Amino acid sequence: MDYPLFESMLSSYGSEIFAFLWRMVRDGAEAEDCLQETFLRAFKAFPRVEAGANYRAWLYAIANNVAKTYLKRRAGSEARLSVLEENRSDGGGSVEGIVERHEELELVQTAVRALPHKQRAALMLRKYHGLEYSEIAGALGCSQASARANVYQGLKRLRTLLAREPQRVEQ
Amino acid sequence: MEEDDRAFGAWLGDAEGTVTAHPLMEALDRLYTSGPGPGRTQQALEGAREMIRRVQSEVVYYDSLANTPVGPLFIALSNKGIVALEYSESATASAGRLRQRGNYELVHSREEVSHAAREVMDYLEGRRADFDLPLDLTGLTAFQRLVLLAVVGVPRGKVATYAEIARKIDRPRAARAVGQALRRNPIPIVIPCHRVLASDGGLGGYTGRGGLRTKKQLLSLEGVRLGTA
Repeated sequence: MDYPLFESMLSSYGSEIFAFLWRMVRDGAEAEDCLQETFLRAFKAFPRVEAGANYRAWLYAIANNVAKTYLKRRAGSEARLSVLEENRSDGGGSVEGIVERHEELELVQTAVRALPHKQRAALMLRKYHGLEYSEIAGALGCSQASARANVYQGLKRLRTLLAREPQRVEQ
Repeated sequence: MEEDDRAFGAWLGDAEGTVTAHPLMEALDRLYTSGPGPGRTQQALEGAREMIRRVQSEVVYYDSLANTPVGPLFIALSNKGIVALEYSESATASAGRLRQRGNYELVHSREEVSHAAREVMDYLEGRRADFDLPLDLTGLTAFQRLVLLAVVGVPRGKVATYAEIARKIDRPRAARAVGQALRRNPIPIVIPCHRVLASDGGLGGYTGRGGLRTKKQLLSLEGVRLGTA
């Protein structure tokens, strides 16, 4: 087994895979666990990967499965997530404005979490990881057309969810 | 709605055109653009690397060195260092024994052990004075490790006694146990148990092939002049 190659793969793609997991689970410590699990699975499967495969898409596929399993397990006892962290540096604005913004962000985040897993993953991969639809198809195990459809369906669903009254956002 | 769709396309990079402000996309960007931050990422990558190292350490490469001045040797290397050097006629039998020492996946590979094999050959044929090989003492007891590391500290050309090693590890009454630990030295020659002699000036023992003859051979290679013992 080519360990140096595996090492270099970790160096090349580790950061973005971690970012993807973080975007999916929205918790630093949990994303760390998921990253370890992802690379452990990758390590075990590595000898069976064909030479010249798209390692990046392959890693995303594993990471996506790890996140899916993880979120399913967590679904029952979902921890309350704070969006305050991301917005400390927002600076100015009235207190009311900030509170309102946070509420709005939490709402969006809740809506994102209510998306079917595939739509959520496809959206993240396309928008924040710059994957081509062919790569998203590889990562999600679907056709390119389906990858694209999932991204747009996800966005449309978010738009619908958020058009409702805040109280009625589906969990 | 159609306007939304156009905005989505531009935002996703699927369509030409400038991204128009849209509250949903603004909120998404605010939530997801920044990512987990460099410190957290660094920490996560370290964790993943550490875990891979732990798993990796289970792979051990081995080979046999057929023609050395002390006969055939079995050599085994993990990613941490040399795991075993054994006076052995059968690599298969040695690999089997090694499998009991740790959770190892043994892989026969001349290439992976070549640098260590060269060091051993160079040493035995007098072209090299000391070893640069890191040691992997996984699977040994704390006492064994302590003894073996103390013996590594006995330099070429010098000898020590079992009692001296016992004192060196703060177990002055354990000379006999030191002898026992050395008898099970998994990496002889590299961990120079041949430099440890009996306190009465005798050679003590040597479990390697040829017994005391090999011990003398190694000591004389290192320029140690033995008495008439």
